[in-house]
Amino acid sequence: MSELDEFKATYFEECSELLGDLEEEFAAIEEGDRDTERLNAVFRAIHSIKGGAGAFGFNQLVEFAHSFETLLDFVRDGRVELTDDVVTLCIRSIDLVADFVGAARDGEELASDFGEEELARFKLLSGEDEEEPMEEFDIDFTPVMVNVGDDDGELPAVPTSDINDETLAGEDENDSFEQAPLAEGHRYWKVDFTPHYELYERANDPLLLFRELGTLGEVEVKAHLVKTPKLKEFDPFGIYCKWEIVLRNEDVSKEDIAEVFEFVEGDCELSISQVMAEADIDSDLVGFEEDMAPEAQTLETQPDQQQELQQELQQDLQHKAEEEAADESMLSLADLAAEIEPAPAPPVREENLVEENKPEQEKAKKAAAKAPAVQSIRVDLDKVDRVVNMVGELVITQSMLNQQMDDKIKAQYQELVRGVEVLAQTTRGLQDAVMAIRAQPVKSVFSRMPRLVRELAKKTDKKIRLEMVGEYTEIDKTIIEQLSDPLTHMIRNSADHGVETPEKRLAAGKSETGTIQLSAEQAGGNIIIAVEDDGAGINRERVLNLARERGVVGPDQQLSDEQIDELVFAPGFSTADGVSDISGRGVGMDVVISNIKKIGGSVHVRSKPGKGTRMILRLPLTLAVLDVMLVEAGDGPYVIPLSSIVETMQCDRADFGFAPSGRRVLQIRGEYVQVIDLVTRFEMTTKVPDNKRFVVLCEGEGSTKVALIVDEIIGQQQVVIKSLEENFERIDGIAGGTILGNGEVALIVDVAGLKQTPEQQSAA
Amino acid sequence: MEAFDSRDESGQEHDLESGNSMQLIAFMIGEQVYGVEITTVREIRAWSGATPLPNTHDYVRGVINLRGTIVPIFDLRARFGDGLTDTTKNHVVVVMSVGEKWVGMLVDAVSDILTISKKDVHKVPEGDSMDSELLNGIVTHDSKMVGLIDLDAIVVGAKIEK
Repeated sequence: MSELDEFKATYFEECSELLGDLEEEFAAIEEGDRDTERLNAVFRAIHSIKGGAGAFGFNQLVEFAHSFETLLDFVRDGRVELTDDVVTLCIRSIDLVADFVGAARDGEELASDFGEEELARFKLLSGEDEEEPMEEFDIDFTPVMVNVGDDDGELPAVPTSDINDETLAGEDENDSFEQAPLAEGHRYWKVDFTPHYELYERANDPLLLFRELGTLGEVEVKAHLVKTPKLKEFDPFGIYCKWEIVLRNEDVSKEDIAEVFEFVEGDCELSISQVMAEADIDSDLVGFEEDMAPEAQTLETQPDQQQELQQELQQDLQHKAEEEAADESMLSLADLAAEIEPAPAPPVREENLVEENKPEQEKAKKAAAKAPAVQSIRVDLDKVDRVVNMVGELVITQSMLNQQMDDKIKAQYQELVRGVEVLAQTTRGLQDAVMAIRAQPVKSVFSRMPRLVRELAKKTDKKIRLEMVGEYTEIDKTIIEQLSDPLTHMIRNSADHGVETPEKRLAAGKSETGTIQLSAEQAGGNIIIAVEDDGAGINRERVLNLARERGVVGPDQQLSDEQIDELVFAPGFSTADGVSDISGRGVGMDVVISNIKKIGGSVHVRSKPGKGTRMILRLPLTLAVLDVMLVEAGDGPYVIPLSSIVETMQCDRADFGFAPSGRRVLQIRGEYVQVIDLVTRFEMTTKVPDNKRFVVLCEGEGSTKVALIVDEIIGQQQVVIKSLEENFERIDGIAGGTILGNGEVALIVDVAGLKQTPEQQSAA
Repeated sequence: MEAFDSRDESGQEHDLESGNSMQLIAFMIGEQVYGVEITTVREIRAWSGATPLPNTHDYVRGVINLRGTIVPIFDLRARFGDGLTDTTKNHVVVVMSVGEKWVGMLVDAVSDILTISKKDVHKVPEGDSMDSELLNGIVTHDSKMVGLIDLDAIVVGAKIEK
């Protein structure tokens, strides 16, 4: 069942998106936004999750989602007040839904009482006794007789209502089925089922529904073509089909049948009725078909066709259908019902089948139809990555071509030059376009944060407000995926250590509520994500003392304020007085660093005592292509990421000095910068005299600068990062490799990894 | 593939199927013949230089670009403690897979494809620690001694730990 697995995978993907949406909506709701549109949105999301779960038979999830949905419905129409308590319950329940979904995905079985407490509260809140239609049916069921002629005005209420769990109840109250007791003897259930276009769009499959019905008893399914147009007007995506199902099992209740269709409520017209004799059904049918006849008369009848074939065909076509076309071609059951007249019976199994295979006609119809409503497709990230990689290679080949063109060639082959220029432009465009495919708004990560802050505020008894700025800033998906943990740690840190308690804040003359601002913006080739709080700032004295105590900083080492601030990122470092269950164990901030470094970013922290702390993540826009400066050191080419280079200068113009320890330092604009000679650092030799060499001033980890000495600066270019670990192992100071235009391998310098510890330096 | 000599290929497939024999690619370092199982060999190419890798042992000659992936090159002569190979264009890199990784071995020349019987493989005599460390066994072929190279042992520990 690989196809089913595919559907499942899609469903789980959708679930995770929907859960994200839910979180977001509830975050807004908790902020006090009680817009009905939000409630509708959450309702829809839960409904969709439930719908898919039902189709795949995740029963625990269905049950939970159903109760959740019922509660939401009541909230929506005002029967249950949306108190803070209810919101908290809902937010908690989203977690549970996520757990259910996770369990279903991993094929795990959750404890049968998982989520029972919430379930009980749902039921309590929604006043289960009056409003559980399913249970009511079980007790009060009375067989009903359908009177199609009278349904006219009533039935449309069902399909036109919003996706609404109440439909069942509504049907029960409103329908005008005559409640006629049936004679003893043969009684059948007759189900009229007319799918709307949306039913297919939501990936429901009538075939599955019918199979499900089949589990209730012997079923006979008849498909009818409703309002089939003339062949030349036939829209391959239109809906011309309705079904009538006869279920031969007296012991089944109406609710049992309704339950089968639960997930397509609102996406179809459905009537379930009990009839006495076969004759009734037939005459109904006959009338129905006959009524269709005028519209369908130009069609050929092909009695041999199997209805399943047609069903499948229709589905396939309708998946891509355009909504309007579908609406036009559809005739509501109610309209039909009104027109039904008895007529001579054609063979029941006879089918009208459209000649769907004529491509010209499809084409003509397609051309006539408006632009399809499809706006997005789901693509495996792997496939996108393959394109990204290839475009990366293309960019490099193109820059190689460029390099190969000397002046002689340029003068001689002007057409070639023009071609290469166009190629360069197109490649650039292609690269941007491909990157845009991978780019996503950071919102998907940001949206998890309000909730985190809320929980943290609750746990720490602080009042914290989270402000988010620039959440629509787009960034590579891989980077986004890597952002969640670091951001969580940073916000935890701000909430736990940054923002003070309300009392302290008041005493310090600040407002009672602390603010954490989470912002994202694009700055050149980087994305800057900042977490800023208006708390107490880093207590430098304590940080330094702790660092000395733990040996992170030597007893005589003097550190600048910035350097002290950066210590919060040192592994195993925590300044919290007490270890809380939120943070303070000292794991976390070093995780931030390692995660961010892994994706080629950097972390900085700035703090003002009493005013607050600002932590800044600087991230690359993309991981695939890197802008670098190509240099030479010893006998090998090296590249240095352009993003970390501050400036370059010739050695004889640089002002070198010696620190008291004997280390060579570079003095630049009043700052002393550590000097690392790439040749000696990598234990190579060079013949280039010192004064002809170059200084590349780089910004290393935590914005501390480092001056690299190289033999030669060759130029800037773009490279694709290649892994060194793939076939070898990681080397200190090397971030990877890349392949230059001439096919040679150049090594990427890991500036942050180059920095030596003081011990290494004194030993050197 | 220029250094490829396949004169033995057709003649000696006798009991390959029985699983008792195996085929080796034999290559020369000076006068000494070494062999690796043919199934591990991915490619044979002429030496065309490598980008040196810092913080590695001398015998790691550097990395090359093998159609877009970076592959490290080990100088087998240096690995066996005989000093760095004085490379020319006639030297050969044998690219092999070691586990999941691809590595290249710099050798003087590829000499032959040998089919040997597994029962003819002898243990490496104790004594020379380098040989017993880097070889899986020794076979005699045409009255010449062929050392079977233990690729895992060659590759491990190439990085200088500080």
